[in-house]
Amino acid sequence: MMPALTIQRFWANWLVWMLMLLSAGLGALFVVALEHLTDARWSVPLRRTAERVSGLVVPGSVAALVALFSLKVLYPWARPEAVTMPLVMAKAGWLNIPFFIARTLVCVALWLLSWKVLAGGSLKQDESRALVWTLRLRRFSPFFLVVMGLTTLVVAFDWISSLEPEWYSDVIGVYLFSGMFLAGLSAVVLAVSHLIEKGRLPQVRFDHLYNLGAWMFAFTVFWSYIAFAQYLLMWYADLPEEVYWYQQRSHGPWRGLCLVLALAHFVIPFFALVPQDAKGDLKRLKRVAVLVLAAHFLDLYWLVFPVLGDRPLFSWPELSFACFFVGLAVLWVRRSMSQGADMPVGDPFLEEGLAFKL
Amino acid sequence: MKIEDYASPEELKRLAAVFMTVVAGISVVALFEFIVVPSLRMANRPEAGPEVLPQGATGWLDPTEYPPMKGYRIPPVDPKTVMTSSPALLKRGQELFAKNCVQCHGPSGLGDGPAASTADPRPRNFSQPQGWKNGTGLAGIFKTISTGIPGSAMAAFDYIPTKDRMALVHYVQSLATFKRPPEDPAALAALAKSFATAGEWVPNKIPVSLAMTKFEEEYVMPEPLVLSGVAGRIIEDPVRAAVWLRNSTAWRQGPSALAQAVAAQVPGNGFKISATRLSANEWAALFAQLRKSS
Amino acid sequence: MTENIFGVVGLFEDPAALLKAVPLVQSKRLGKLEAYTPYPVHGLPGVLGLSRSPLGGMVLVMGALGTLTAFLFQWWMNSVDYPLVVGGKDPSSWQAFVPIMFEVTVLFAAFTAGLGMLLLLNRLPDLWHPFLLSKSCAEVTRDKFALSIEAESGSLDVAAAQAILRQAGALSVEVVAFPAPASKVSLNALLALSAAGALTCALAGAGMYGAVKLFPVLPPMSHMLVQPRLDAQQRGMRPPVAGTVARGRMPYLGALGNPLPRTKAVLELGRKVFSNNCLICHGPLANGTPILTAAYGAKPANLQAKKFLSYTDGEIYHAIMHGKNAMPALGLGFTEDERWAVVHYVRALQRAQHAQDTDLP
Repeated sequence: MMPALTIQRFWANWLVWMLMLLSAGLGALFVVALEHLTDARWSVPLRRTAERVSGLVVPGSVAALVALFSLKVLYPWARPEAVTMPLVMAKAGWLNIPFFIARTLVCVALWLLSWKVLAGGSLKQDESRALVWTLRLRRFSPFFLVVMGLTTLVVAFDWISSLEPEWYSDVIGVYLFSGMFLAGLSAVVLAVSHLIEKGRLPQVRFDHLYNLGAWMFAFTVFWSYIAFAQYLLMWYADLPEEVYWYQQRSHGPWRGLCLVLALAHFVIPFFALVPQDAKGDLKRLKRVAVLVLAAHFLDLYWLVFPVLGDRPLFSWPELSFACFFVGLAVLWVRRSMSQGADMPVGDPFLEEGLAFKL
Repeated sequence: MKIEDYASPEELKRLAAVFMTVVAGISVVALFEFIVVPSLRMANRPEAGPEVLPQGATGWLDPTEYPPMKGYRIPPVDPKTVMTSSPALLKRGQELFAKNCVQCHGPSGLGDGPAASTADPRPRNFSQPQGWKNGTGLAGIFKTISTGIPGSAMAAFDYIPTKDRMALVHYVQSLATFKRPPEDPAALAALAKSFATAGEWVPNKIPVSLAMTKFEEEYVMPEPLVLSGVAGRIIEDPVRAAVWLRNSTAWRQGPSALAQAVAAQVPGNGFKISATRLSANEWAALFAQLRKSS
Repeated sequence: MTENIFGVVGLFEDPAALLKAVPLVQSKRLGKLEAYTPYPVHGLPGVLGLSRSPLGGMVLVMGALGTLTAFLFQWWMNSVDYPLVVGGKDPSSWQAFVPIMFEVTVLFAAFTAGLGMLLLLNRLPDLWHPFLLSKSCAEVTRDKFALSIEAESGSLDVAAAQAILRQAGALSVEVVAFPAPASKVSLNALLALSAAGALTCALAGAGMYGAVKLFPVLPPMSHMLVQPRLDAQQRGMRPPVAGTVARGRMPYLGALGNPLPRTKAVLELGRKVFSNNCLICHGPLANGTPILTAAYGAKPANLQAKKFLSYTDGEIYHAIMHGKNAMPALGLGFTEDERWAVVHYVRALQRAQHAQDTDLP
């Protein structure tokens, strides 16, 4: 028998993939902004690729706007029965439909603006070769860092936490951010490896890749640290309004998923990237990036899907969603790869970046 | 004969170095052991400390192994010597107060001793007129000290000899500096009369090991329960259950009392936990069976 | 003469010159090549043919050992040796172990990295390295780069080494000898050191004495019942929440009976548990005059008083289980049999102090 595609299931899938697109896009944009902010040299040859991946912010933002139609389906606080939940009513000042839509619009506007400035500015520098763009982007980057921090917090609270509005965790924003940054890095690694295999980034060497690998290595640890810290505190305090969230995510069939998540998001990437050579080994980096992206999907799935029922739903609807969105993302990034130079040729530090040594 | 004949100056210097290092080590240890630690202990000793007793109240090496002692009678107290306060009585009272009372009532009787915080209701503050369950008269205070205050942490100090107890009474009264109501002559007369008629019996004492042996010798193990019927289903350890049934009294009142008593101590009383799920009829049957056998 | 030669050192102007010189010098195989530079030079380890440092592997192994140590340590203490239920959690909950495991992993790994690098691999402290005494060393601390050909198994062709270094473009070439053996520490110095040690000990001891005497900043608690937390929460030991049932125990609800017979074994068990746990407060004869009274002024109950003579077994058991006034609830620290055995032993103590006439021998 074919499993039914209920309306809740449709929107849950949509939500997960919208977050996937935003993760890859915003994560990559964060890599770009960090380079400007810290005056990094090593990542200059890779920056154009990261800018191209960050274009995923656009379909992600569109998906977020479409997802606003899911409010009454997925979110208990948006339904009339919310008046019977005193804890939810206490949060009504934040969790109400007009404010939610306003927040989403502000977030989307900030993301698109940041993407336009950071990615577009770099393209303009290709033509004009003006140093002023370097300075402008450097000045803009701290603004994006703040935007990134606050909007991931809002996304985590609004789109994830409020699926179960009685539950709360202060660290869920950092949790989501660490996963997003990791996903963005992985997407950049995949794009870079594609370009290298096509011979379009001939001067990118072990030394450049090593830094990407080191970053991924560090953030697998950071993600696990945050994830475990949240779990440990809730496990210790054992407060009914907090611990039920973990109860439903760590019992029955979800237990296995927890284990897979721990392995795929921490243990395997961690040990795969421990050796010094592995961090700059393109083949291994690519495999780890695919694994980490899959683990990030599992992470989001694990955050969202338990609200649909006790059993994990994974069948043709999930597979079709995966195919559709992965295909969309690949097409989107490849389309941007066909335009412009593969490296920020207008950046005065490109030469220094190409000569970078560990 | 000179020292240089035996050891070169180098060897002497080496010896001196070793010697000084050892002496320094010993002196540091000694400083801590004999000066720092004892002075810390002395500096923090409570001011109104209790009387220091020799280790083991009996003075024997194993304090539970003293020779058997025959009991004796303390002759009755002459009321004349204890009914009115005197410096000697107050001094004795103060000693006993420091030993038995300061822990709760505090060194000045303000109810602020170190253990006061564990007592509910809080210990009496002798400087205040409130409270005084048995009044502030000699007879009342004597009654409080002798029998304690049920429902509070105030214990009965009946083991203190009568004369000493009266010394304490006078001392406690001297702490009650507020204006006390006059003494009740009838109560005073009754108190004096009780001294005149009753002496005190100090009981016989035997070593603890002998007392244990006596217990063992006197003890007759009950017959193990016959495990038939309901008893067979719910009794885990028939010997233990038999001992328990003999030592408890509550269950003899009827089947429901038996059910309650069994449930209170299961499985420590030799019954199985499943005993708590018996029906009323089964309890009745069990009760009849057990009453017959024990 | 050659036994005393440490090596021949050539100075170069810049890293590039040094890197260029290495292959040429290396091809002669005169001795061990070593470079001394003011800062790490990219590519130098590769050119010199240095193998990768084993430090990473050492750190990984020691880190894993740290994880394992912390896990086994906590697991043995918390769930085998002394299982303690905290917050209703299983004593062997792995979640609670993780922070310590993480910390110990970092500790082991960091110590291995730091000490392994300094002491084991870099062989520090090395105050008498021959190169430190050379003129070239002074130059290297400014702006020159040195390449040295060092004697292997005590022999070095000094002339050939000088020639090849010059040929490789060295600015100057210096022959570095082993320093003359340093004189051993003199006895006078030893004596002075001991005297200084003794003086320091005496001063520290006297200072400690004075400090403790004059400024008793941390007076130890002389009464357990006088401690700061009593001011804060108005009580000593925190009682369990009402209705708490300890793991594996059954609460009792009614009058109790002693399920143990008065056998030798039971009384001896009672004596042991009493001596180890009750005696310190109640005294060896349970008359409330123990060592503690002398030292701290406590006033525990006199179990020989009439009130306690008339207590039922169940009432004594209840006092053990739930405490009484200042006495804490001790019940959960013992098995049920131990508690009932103590009740029997208290009865024996009472009998010893209140013997019948027939008991007297």
